[in-house]
Formats: sequence, C-alpha cells, structure tokens
Amino acid sequence: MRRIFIPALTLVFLVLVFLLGFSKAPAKAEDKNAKEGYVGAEICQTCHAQVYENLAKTAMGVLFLKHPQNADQRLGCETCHGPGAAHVASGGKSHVGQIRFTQGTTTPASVQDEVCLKCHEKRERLFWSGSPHDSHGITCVKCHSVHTGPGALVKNQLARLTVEDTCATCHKEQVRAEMKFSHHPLREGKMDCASCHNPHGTTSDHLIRGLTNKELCFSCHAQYRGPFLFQHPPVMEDCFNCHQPHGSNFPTLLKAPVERLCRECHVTFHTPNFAVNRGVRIGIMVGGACINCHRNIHGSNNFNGDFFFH
Amino acid sequence: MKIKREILAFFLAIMLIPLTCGFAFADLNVGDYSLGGYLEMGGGFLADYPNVKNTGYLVKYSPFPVGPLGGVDLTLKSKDELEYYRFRMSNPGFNANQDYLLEMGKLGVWHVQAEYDQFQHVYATVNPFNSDIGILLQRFRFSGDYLVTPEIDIFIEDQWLRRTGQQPMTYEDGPSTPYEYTATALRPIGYSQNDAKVGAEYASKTYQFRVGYHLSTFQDDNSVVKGSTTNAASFESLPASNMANYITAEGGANLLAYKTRITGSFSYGWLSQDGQVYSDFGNAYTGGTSAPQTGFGLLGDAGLSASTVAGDISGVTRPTDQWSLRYSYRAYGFDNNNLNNPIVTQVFLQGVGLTAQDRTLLLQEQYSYLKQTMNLGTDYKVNDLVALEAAYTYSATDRTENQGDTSSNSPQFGIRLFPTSWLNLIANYTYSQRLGNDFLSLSNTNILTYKFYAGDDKRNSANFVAEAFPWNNVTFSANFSFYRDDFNDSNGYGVLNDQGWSAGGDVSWTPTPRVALSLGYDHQEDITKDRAYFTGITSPVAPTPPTTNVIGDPGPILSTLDSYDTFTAKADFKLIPDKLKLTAAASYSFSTSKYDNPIMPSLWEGFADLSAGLSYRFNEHWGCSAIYRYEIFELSKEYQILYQEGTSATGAPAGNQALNTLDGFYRNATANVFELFVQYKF
Repeated sequence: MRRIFIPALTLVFLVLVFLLGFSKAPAKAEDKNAKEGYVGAEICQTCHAQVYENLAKTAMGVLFLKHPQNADQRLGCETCHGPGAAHVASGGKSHVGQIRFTQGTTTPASVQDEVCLKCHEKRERLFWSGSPHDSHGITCVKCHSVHTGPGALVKNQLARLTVEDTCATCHKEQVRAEMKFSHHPLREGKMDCASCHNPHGTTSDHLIRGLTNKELCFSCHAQYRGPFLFQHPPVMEDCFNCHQPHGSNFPTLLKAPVERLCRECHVTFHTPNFAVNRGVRIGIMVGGACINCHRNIHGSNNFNGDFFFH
Repeated sequence: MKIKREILAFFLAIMLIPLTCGFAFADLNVGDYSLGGYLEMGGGFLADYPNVKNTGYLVKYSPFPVGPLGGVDLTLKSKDELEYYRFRMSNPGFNANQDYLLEMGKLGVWHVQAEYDQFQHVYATVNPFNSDIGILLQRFRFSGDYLVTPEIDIFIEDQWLRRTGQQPMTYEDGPSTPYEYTATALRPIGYSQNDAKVGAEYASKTYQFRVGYHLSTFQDDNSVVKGSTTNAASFESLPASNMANYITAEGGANLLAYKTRITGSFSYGWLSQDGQVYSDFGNAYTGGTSAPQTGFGLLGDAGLSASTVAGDISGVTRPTDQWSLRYSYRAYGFDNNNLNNPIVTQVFLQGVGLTAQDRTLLLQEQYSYLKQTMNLGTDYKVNDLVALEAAYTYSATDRTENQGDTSSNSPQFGIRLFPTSWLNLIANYTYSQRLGNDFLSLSNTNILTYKFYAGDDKRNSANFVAEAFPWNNVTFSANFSFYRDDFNDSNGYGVLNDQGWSAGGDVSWTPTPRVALSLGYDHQEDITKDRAYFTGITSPVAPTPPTTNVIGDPGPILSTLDSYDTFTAKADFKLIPDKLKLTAAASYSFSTSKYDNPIMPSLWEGFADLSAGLSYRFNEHWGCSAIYRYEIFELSKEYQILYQEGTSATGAPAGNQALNTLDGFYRNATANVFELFVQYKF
C-alpha cells in the first residue's frame, strides 16, 4: 500500500502545483511595453553584420528575422539581448541593461537561461531548472551556439562540432573512456552522449534518459528485462552494479574482470584461486571465467536455471 | 603495401568524372524551392591488411571502408526558408555500415524524421571454429512532431531494432564432472525490439504539462540453444520475449514567488513475460546440425509480471539572482508479482517439495523494492569572483521479503572561482555514508554472499576543473578527480575498498585563422582490494584444505590495479583558403590491468589511430578529398595465447581449457586504409 501511496501523493501534489501555477501566473503583461527602448534587428546589423548573417542561416534566425510568429520574435536580436537603444546611443560602448552571453559577462547565469527558456522550456528542457548543469552555473550558451561558433550550423546548434566534443569540455574522463577496449559505438558514430543522457535535466540520476539505469539499458537491451523465473538481484536493481557504460578494459563493459567482479559479492566461490573446489580448473577461469558456466547471469527462464547455468 | 591495380584504377577513374562533366548540375532551383547540399562518391581500399582474422577489435562495430563508397546530403528549402526537406545517406549498399535519413517539416509547425541504419558487432574473427562471429544490427527510427497551436504539441516516436547473427557461448561438456570441461558453441541471435512512444504537451510561459505512453516489445526468434547433441546438460534458455508498458505524466509551473519553478512527474509501468518454460532442452536449436529436438516437457508459459511506479517532485526558488534553493523528492518502486507464480513455485520445488532452503532462495530472488531520494541544495554567488554551493541527499531503499534496507546520507560542497574573466576554477567534494542491513549472509549450501552494492559504504569523492582562456586563440583546461569507497560491513570479505583518481588536460591553439591545433591527455587509475573466504564445501568434489598465503584465503588480499592513458591530437590547416585543406587527427590509448594473482597474468592493451585528410576544391561546386587512416591494436601476448587455448588445432575441445566467450577473440592487428572521394556541392 505504501508503495502506491507515495507516487499517488506525488501525482496529487503535481496537480495542485499545476493549478497553483495557473492561478498565480502573470499574463503576458511585458508584451505591452515590448517596443520601448528597442531599435530593431536592422540597426544591429549595421555593426554586427557577420553575426546577423550567421543568425539568418539558423532556424531561429529564419523565424526571428524573416517570419516572426509573435511579439517576442519580432524583436529580433533584442528578443534575447534586451533593448539596444542605450547601446546604440553610446556608439556601442555601453551594455547597460543588456543581456550578454559572452565569457566573463556580468549577466547572471539564471538570467541568461531565462531568456532561452522563455521559448524552450518544454520537451527536453522541462526539467532544466535545478538540474545538475543549471546548479553548476552552466548556461545554455556554454553548450549551444546561437549564432557564433563552429557548431552554429550543425544539428542542435552546438558550441562545438559534435556532441562528444561539447560534453568533453567538462566530462573528459567519460568521453575518453570510449577509447577503451570495450565500448559503446560512440567513436564509430552510431551513438553519442545524448543517446543515453538528456543534458537539459531529468528526474533520474546522472541525467539519464530512463526512469532508472535499468530502463535506460533496456531501451536497447530488452533481452535482459525479464522478469525471469530465476532473477539475479544486482541485475534487478541496477545494471551498473556490474557494468561501466562509458567504456571498460574488460569485455562487455564490465567494471572488473569477471573472475574478480563476481567475487565482490560471492565471497566463497570457488575457493580462493579457483583451482581446487568443485572441480573447477584454472583453464575454465580464463576468458569468460564464471560466465563460462553461469551463462544466463542476467536471469534464466529455464526449469534448471538455478545458479544461471541454463 | 599491396594495392590492387584494378581497384586503384577504378577509383581514379571515378575521381576524373567530375572534371569531364563540369557544371552540369550547378544552381538547381526547383520551382519555389532551392536545392543545397552535396553528392559524394569514391571508395576505399586497404593498403595493409595482413590477415582478415586479425581485425576483430578494429572492425568491432564498423568494417573498414573498402569498395565503392558514397554519400549524399541534400536539402530542399522553400524560397521563404520555412519548409525544408532533407535526405542524407552514407555508404549505401555497404552491408555492415550504412545509414539513410529523411526529414521534412515546416519551421515552428511540424517535423517528421525517419532514419534507417545498420552496423555490426563483431565478437570474433579468429575463432578456430568460425570466423566473423557477430551480429548485424538494423535500426529504424521514426519521429513526428506537430505543433497544433503555439502551446500544444503532439509527438510520436518509434524505434525498431533488429539483431541477427550468432554469439559465442560455452557449455559444460564432461566427461568426469559437469564443471570440469567446457566447449564452445554459437548462440543464435534473432532479436526484434520495438519501442513506440506517443504523447502530447501543453506549454505556456507559465506552466507545462505533458502525458505520454510508451510500449516496448521484445521478441526472440529462438527459445533454447543446445551446444551438443550428445551431452544432455549442454542446453541454455535464450532471452525470453517480453513486453513493457509505461504511462507518464510530467509537468512544471513557474510561480511568482521568488522566481520559483516546481516540476513533477509520475510514471506507472507494467511488465510481462510469457515465454515458454521447458523442463530441459526441448525444441532446442542445434546450430543447424540437426533438426530441432523435442525431448523434455513443456511446463507452460511463464506468466511473469512486474510493475514500476515512479514519482518526482522538485523545485527551485531564486530569492535573488545570486541565490537559489533546490529541493526534490523522488520515489521509484519495483513491484515483483511473481512470488506466488505457479511456475516459479514449481521450479524452486524441483520435484522434492519446497524446503526452507528453497524458500530462502526464492525470497532472495523474487522480492520487490522501493527507493526514495530526497535532495536539498543551495547555490550562492557571493560576487563576480566566487560562487558557492552545498547540497544534501538522503536516499533509502526498502526491500520486501526481509531482503534488507539500505539508506545513505550524502552532503556535498562546491566552489566556483572566477578570478579573472579568462579563468574558471571549479571544485566540489562529496561524502556519502551508506548504511545497510547485514548483507553478509549464508544461504543455500553455505554460500557466503556479501552484497557490497547494498551494504555499508563510506565514499569520499572530489573533482576539480580549471578552464582558462588567456588569449582569444588559446583555451586550456585541466581536470582532476578522486574517489575512495570503504565497504566496511563485510567482516573483511568480498570487496573491501575501491579507490581511484584521474587527471587530464587539453589545450587548443589557433595561431592563425588558417591553423588550428589541439592536444589532450588523460590518465585514470583504479585500485580495488577484495578477499574471498573458504567455507570448506565438500560437494561434489572434496576440496584441498585452504593453504596459507594463497591469494584470497583468509589473510592475503587480492589487489587489482587498472590504469588508462589516452592521448589525443588534432590539427587543421587551411593551406590555401577555400581551396586546399589538411586535417590530421591522432589518438593513442593504452591500459594496464595488474592482477595480484599468480594464475592471471597482467593485461595490457593499446589502441592507436591516425587519420589525415587532404581536401581540394576545384571550384564552387566540385571538390575532392583523400583520406589515409592507420589503426593498430595490441594485446598482451599471454592473453592472445589464452584466448586460443580452448581448442586444438582441429577445433576439438582441448581438455581443461576454455575460450573467452564474452567478447570474442582479439589479436594484434594493424590496418592502413585509403579513401578517395569526389564531391559535388550545390
């Protein structure tokens, strides 16, 4: 009963919050004064011709500069950077009141992100606020390039040319793990970091695309989903009890060589050096080691599947 | 270097084609649409390919690009640039590595995308029984998105994944005891998986809400495999077909008070598995050597099921632009409905009645659990130079059937320093104390097990990152991380502690707009210590009494050291602007695993690749490129020998040896590949 109660309570709370947000939210009041202090994209283009040209090639640029769909988009460059009249009046020297995204800007990260989230706070970005990246002050433009940067014209307008390059800015250890002996096909171009992670925020740990690690893995490896007649508890709780998804020196992305990994839990088998007990010979312990016999280690559906032999 | 003259002549001829047909395709306008993109054709050939059976590692997921190759990436856009149609394909007809993409849409209104690709997962190319053991993966993905109104979005997504081929496996093959000899066989792979998702979302500036449904099905063409027609014990059940359904509801709201955002999600899933359960190897697949066998009885359909429930509430409040508060609660429950399943009960009975011991085992495997996590955190930007963060996480896992509870407390601290506009320093430290019940337990036949992943653990971890942009054309970054786990409730058995560190850095430099250089290096090291315990099991073979000073006996501790080193380098030279470009990239990665164990030699692996490409543009439309790749893989000699010792030269099982069944056989390999392409750009 308790198991159902807590999520049900969560759902009820969610509905309440939903209604609360609806009732207290401001109308689109800011739109009324949208034109005050704004100069228009044409004026920006005078000095920032290259930036304007780059922006015009992007999907956002096409909408903002050529086919605005609402009052916000009609403001062009100033949709994101704020009113530019003071900046223009100062001959480009003053940035007072402007929102800037460059390295070393004084505009707070939360204010920068708020600009993007005005339009993008949905779908994959629903859980951005409070996400690990948001909490560490990583702004949207740290990973995305709106109009300047090598990745401005590639898919998702990344700050660098590829997803891996973008993530490797901070997550070097994980990205370089793909060079290891056993790895997912990232460096072969069949996956990328975003295949498993949603960098914008999730409700699960480590920004993974799944309720838990298990559900993430099952999205491609459903053969291990079960449920099985004979279940292996560490599999039932978390695939990463045994596997290291970013890359490993050991076969099938295992965290350790099999003969050592299994013994982390199974303290007694098959005696210390695998050479004496239960007739197990040394040769059997090379290669697949324990898995040579306990083959269905993820779970067995066989009548004789205890100990995962069959 | 052996290049077949015919192949070389063929590709050189292809390269000359564009020079003869000039501007035949230039400036394509189709009505109110304009065509952009490129067509590319050419091919690749191997200059150094000593032995096809030695390339298992290098071609693990994609074969060497040999033979005719091509690529197309075309985009048709309406004059107003709102409508777009894109078609992309690479390596059409190249069986183990080709993909096709078609996408179309109208900006801000709808988008549809369909992609098909296939690639391989080679397990072995040096198996004496069979070469080229592996799986072909075929993947079709479709997604559609329609913005009904500026606020309402409906979307659909489907992924079909098909795996066909063979995987290596071992089986027990007597003759004296079932544990003494193993032999190899091939497990048939015929998996089909389909994941379909459909959902709708309402999103305004104030609140967002979406609902979704996800159906996942898995179908296995085979149910049982038999390794030998003579050995009754050499059978294995294959993964059972199963199905999962999930419904989800997620939402978020932006509240006025202190720029607060609240989000929440709820998910309910139900899983079922109704595969056939055999009492032995009935209807077994025998690798095509004989007809499927019918021998032992079919017990019936498994009728297994489980359900998951997950809920999450989280919020962020920003009293000021400098200060934020985070809070969240999450619950995930896995309900196992199979404790009283008739088939489950029957297999644990094993025809002799459900003993207390059987019951213990049954409960150990068929339990449910609920995991709850609560998090509180705050970030404060003191000034333009310093930002601080602190967080606390409490997590608890409750398991049914007396399988124990686990809880953990984890405080975290972080600091971000911005001493200048060109330098960022980020550091954080996390301490985690996990408390579990006594997971060191004795069960069936005195099996001593310690569930280290659920038991007591003290973890310390720290990370440091420095990023510097001292000049406009130079970026530098360095990182360091450290962790240590102490598993201290095992009475000194099982994994005792685990610790590691990593350090790395990279630098990129663009001395002129025509030259870009980057270098990177990373070192990682992990040390694990564990100890086994001898209980004096006497069945089925009387053991030799434990000796002193044997690794793993009470006393000595087994220590394993794994280290990884990776170097990367990249250079881009625009030798003649808009005409001639040279790109070169190289990486070298090597790793070592040192086992403190007399029977396991240390493992050393190295992989290096180098690629260099020269591209030349004849004019606005025509261009060509030549690419050279060099790859080398090396493995400790002892392991190359061990991996082959399982069989004799004739392929017959060789007594007490076993083969590596997990990931195939790999041997030292070197490859030199040349690729030539001509490209037409619209």
